[in-house]
Amino acid sequence: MKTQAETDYTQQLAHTHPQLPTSMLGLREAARQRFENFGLPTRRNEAWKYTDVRAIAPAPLTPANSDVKSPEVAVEHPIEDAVQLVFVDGHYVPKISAARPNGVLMLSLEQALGSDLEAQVAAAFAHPAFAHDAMLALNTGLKTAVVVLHVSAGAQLATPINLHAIFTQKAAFYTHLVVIVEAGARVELIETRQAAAQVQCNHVVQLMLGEGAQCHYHIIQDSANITQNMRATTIAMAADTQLHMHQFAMECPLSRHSVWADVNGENTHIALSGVQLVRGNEHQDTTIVLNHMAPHTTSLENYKSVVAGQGRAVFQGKIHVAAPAQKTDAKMRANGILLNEGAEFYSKPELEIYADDVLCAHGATCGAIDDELLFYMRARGIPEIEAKALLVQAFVGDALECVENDEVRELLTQKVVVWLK
Amino acid sequence: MLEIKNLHAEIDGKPILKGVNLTLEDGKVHAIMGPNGSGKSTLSYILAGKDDYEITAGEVLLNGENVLEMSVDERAAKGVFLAFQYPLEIPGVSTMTFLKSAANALNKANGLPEVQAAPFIKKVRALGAELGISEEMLKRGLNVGFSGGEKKRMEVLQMALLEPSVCILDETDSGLDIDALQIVAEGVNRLRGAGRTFLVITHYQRLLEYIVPDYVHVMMDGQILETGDKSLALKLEAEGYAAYRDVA
Repeated sequence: MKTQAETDYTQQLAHTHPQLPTSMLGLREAARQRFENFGLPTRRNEAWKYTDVRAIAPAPLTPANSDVKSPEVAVEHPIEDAVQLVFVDGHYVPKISAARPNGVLMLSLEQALGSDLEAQVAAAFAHPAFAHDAMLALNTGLKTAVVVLHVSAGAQLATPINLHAIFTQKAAFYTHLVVIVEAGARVELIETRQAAAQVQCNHVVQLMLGEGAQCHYHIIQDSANITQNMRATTIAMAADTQLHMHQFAMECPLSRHSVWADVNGENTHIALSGVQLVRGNEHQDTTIVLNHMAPHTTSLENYKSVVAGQGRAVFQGKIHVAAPAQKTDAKMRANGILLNEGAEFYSKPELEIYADDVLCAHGATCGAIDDELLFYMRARGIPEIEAKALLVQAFVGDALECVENDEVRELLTQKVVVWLK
Repeated sequence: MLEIKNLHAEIDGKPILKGVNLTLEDGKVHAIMGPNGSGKSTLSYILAGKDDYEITAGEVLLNGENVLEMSVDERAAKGVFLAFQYPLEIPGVSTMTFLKSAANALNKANGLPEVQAAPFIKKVRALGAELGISEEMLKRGLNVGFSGGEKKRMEVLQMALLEPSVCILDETDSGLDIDALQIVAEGVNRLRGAGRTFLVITHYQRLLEYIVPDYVHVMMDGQILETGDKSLALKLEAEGYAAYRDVA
């Protein structure tokens, strides 16, 4: 039996014209059929065990109108030391963006397919995750906008790029960003969002790093107007690459971030870190599948969840080490603090190892704030609420310290302080 | 003046304090000596406000105000300071942040303005220098990676900085070598003076060679059995507590 939401999505898939070029319209029908088969994820689906979308998702909003609008919009709280590229209702709007730095292209899907990036973009679209994930099927079949961000080989971008999305209409947005960082390039991306109306977002980011490329990717999600925040990130790393992705999320009524990271080349390093601040009836889920495919690679995962009210935080992390990936060094940590009775944190680490000379470690903890520490701080005159706030800041500080960008780290630290008040 | 009157307390139904009577005079150093399990540390925790204990009778008055009705941080704001036997490590909260939060909380509770960052840092560093706590240590998470002796010195630094009126030292000498003991004792002695009361809890007379008490109290089985001057500590060192066991 379909739920009302599933019926609505099925209707939308049948009647919406996704923003895909004619050559790709076959994907739409495939996506429609997949969704027909899968339905919304439920807890019977292991990857969605703790996020039963079928049970908890709100009714789907109508997919956003595909007309490119650029109404009078102003960026709230811009990142100061960054080149700002602005997206309005999913579409890149150069008019209200800063000048693109040298070495950076922003292309439509048609433009990218008509260039020598065609093979890379086609590979991104052929990622296996699309074949088995219902939320990705919805993204394909209801596509609002696709943007390809290209960083040319060897480009060394000294200033971070702030990809700032502004949503102006009450609608659902199915957005897709392909980021291609060519060999030897270095780039730092900061994703921020603001929403003037209640919106639902289904956002796919596909990050491809060419040999020797380095990338820092910050995701900042703090708009309570994004009532449903479905996000998928695929990562493909060639040899000698380095990636650090940090996600910071608060004020998310319902949020899920699925990450598929493939460490394909030797001598690569990937660091994934994040902070989930959850309260009220909010639900946040980060689920990562990290594949070590080549020898001599390292990975580090560090996620902190703070849960208050009746909130629920989820972290699922799977590390898969393929047979050729000898000398893999993989570490995963997921820690949760529950601030009161009724708060929930689910953590599921998994290791699947086929190589015999590897170091893999995982640690998961969950608990309340330590009463002894609280007593010690209060004995110095610090009131209980303030003492708890300091301890929570210290707890998430361990993950925030992974953020090398001083301005971003300070911004996130301030957001934690505001959240705690 | 801190008055402890007929204080009874228990934990999990087991009586620990069985009628403690003790008056701590302003400006004096009172030492409490007693064997393990006599209730010394329990007394210090109860004065600081730890809620693991049930107070079954008695009262504690600080300048006439009932301390037992105050929250832990209210007591601190009134000038009660417990130097912990086992100071805790707080990873992620830098020592300076912790000290500033404490100083500001106390100022706020007492209607004083926030501390000025620059002079405050200078003051902390100067106190650190006196106590052999380096600037590098001040940058770390509170007590993180500190040795036992360094943690005790940090307690004294906090005491010097926050200027409490009632200082309770819970076995501050435990785990200290003789050099560290001297540094800690000198730090405490600098704070001695009119208006500031010390309650020094210890097993051994050794600490009292460096922090010379005005009064020595003997605690056994949850009661103060005898009060004397510093010579009482020497007597205990020579004769032990056996004589009191019969009394208790």
